[in-house]
Amino acid sequence: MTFERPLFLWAFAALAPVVAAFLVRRRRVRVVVPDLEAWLAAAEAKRARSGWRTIRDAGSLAMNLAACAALALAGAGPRAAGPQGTDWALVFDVSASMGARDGRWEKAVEGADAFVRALPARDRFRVFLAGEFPRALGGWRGGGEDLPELPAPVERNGDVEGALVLAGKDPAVRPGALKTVAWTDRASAADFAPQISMESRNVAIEALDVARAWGSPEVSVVLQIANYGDHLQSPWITASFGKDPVDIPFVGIDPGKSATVRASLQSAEGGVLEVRLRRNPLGDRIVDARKAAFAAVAPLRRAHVLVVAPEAKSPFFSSALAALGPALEEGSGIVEPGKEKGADVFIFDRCAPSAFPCVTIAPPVARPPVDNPAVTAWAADLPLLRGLDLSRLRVARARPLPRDRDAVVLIDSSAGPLAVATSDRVTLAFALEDSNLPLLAAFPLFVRNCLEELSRQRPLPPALTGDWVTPFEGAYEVWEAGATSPHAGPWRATQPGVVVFTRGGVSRPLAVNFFDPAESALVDPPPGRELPAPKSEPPPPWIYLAAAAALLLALDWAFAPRR
Amino acid sequence: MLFNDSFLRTLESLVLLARRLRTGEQAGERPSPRTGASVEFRDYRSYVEGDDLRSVDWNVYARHGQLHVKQFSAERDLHAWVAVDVSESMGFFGKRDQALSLAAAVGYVALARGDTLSWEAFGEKRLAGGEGLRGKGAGIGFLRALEAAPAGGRTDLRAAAAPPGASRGLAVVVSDFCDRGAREALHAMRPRGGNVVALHVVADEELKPALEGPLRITDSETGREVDVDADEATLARYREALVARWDALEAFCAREGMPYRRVLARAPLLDAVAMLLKPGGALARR
Repeated sequence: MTFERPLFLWAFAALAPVVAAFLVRRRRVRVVVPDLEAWLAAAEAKRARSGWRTIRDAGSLAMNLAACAALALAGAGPRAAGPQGTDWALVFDVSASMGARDGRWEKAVEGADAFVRALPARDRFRVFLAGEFPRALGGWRGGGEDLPELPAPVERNGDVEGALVLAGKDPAVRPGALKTVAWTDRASAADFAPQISMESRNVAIEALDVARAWGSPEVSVVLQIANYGDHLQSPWITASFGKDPVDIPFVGIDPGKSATVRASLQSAEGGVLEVRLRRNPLGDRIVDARKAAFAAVAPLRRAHVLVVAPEAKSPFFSSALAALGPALEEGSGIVEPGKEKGADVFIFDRCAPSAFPCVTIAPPVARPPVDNPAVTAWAADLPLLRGLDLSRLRVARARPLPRDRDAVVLIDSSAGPLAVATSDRVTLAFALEDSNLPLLAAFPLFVRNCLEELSRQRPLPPALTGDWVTPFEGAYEVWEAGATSPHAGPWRATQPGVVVFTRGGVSRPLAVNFFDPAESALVDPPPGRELPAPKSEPPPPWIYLAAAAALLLALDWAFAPRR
Repeated sequence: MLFNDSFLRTLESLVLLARRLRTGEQAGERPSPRTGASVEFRDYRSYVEGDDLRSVDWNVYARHGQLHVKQFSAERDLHAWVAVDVSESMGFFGKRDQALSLAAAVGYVALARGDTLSWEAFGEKRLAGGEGLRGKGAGIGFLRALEAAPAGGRTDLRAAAAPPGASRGLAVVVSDFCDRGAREALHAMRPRGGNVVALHVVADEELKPALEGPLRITDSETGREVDVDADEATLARYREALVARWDALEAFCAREGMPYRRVLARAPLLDAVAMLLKPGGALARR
């Protein structure tokens, strides 16, 4: 038990005067009378009730002492140490996109401010900034206190995942008490995956990257392990992906250092990567730490691709699709405009796009054409252009695309962007026959990259708390944040955070947020979907103590002898 | 001085009453069954040799021719004995002053009437006293001696011993009777004096003590203590016990034929004396 005002405990010293007053009150006054006979007769009858008097006097003293003690305790403001409060990690995405003029940042701050004000006193919160470098802002504050002053969202990136990890590593977090709330406008919930849960502070998996090499079923794993204990060697690091063991190469990590451990997974499907750091059999200094990391591995799946073109046959796409081979599902092919439907990816060749995701080639636009735009740059590090060499790309005529804020420029030229990409669309500003792209080796790779990226299992849209979420048809498993085992769906979003749904090795992460799922259209929560109300706090104990003191005094007054 | 002149004159107009009068040996103003030299004719008897010829009734001789002698009643005095309790218990609420005043009044009435007065102030023993006082001339000395009598000690009515001469007269006991043996002592006084008057001096403060709370009550005479919580119920029980005790004494006196008067300590002396004038009291007007 703790006290809000421990100085009031000095009021217990008032018990001594109470006892003294009681004793003085009980002291008998000496009276001399002419004759004692009548008094003896009266006292004889009274003696029969002396037992009750003793009980009454003792009870009166006990009630007075209890009332004084209760008042002293009430003044001290006791707080039960039993059920501890929740430690809320409030993660703010401070990337520049949050500074959009639609007021999303202001709404986020306003919502967070209302949230912390409604927290019960036993809860704590700390603000973590998800910027280029995740960091904490200020220390832990009690529920009901104000938010610290937040910086303006001006950073290039918002590492929400890093901020979540940082919050989980905060040594001041009470065990089992951490819950996270993120205010972010990031469209892709997959940014939150993989999630890393840590159970020990001696060693920590600082980072986990699971990636699949291009065109290969092999999945590479990169582990960043920090060692805060004794010397750690890889023989004590074991990992498994599903039921398959993962071969961990030898590595030694000195105390206070971290090391990168690379491994590869033989399974092409997603699953749970479990890394276990066992006790050092010699030193016994390393804590037996079981590290489970959930890896949301992108599945390699076949795609249903439809090419929408004016001609029934497109020589370029026929050869390109043929090169993809088994990656295409049955039914893939070329259709006329207006007959496209039911595909994973559409390719609109010189047609206006009518379905998504899609690759749009030379869409009919009113912009004037530009002859011989010189290719100046291409984003070779983006997955869409991975492995492509566009140095020999030549374009005879193009209608350069506008530089849209939400679009990534894939190929830039002296006249403007020649290729841009958004989350569900890749657009080329030139027709294939107006360039030498179909003749380059990069063309089939480009098509495959586009299909691969666009047909990737799309992340679930962020959910509002209170929503029923259906990531898969039929049965599936739900991994909630921090859980060591899944439970069966259906699932309803009750807390903000990241949840991962799995079925048959396919994982779909989901970010549960307070805001509208539309990434760029932050709006007020719909009616009935308010912030989760913190549990109403029961009346503080001092109220009960004061009431008990009043009751005791009333009882004492009722049963005390009248004089 | 206990009394002023007007009160003394009032007392001189009173006389002590005794239901069964046993007069003393000395001449006085009270009729005696004996024959004597008073002027009141009592009877005739035949002349015997040696009788004073002056007492022969010659008219009877002339009528009957026999010598008869006239006999007259003898007037003797009354030996009054006044015992006043001056013990420690009488020192509360003015009881001792009232008792001394009453004793002085009764004694003075006796002296003014020509009776013989013996008195004593007692506690657990005789503390002061006088015997055989006669005439109003002894009154002043009596009053002063009474006023200067020492006080204190326990109440023991058995210590109040009447002188031999007073055993046939009137005994007046003024006390608060805080003595468990009071009734036996009063009973023992009867064969001696024949007439015993009990004047019970009580105080209002005894009936309604201004006490409350936890008390340690000490007996003024014995030093005995008892712890009492003086709440309303206890005080009521105390009053009940006290009144029962007083009533028991009064009932005893009634059974024994002893005049009993309960006199308030704070009552004016004239009123207290007036109480003794009531029927069944110890005084009467001449």
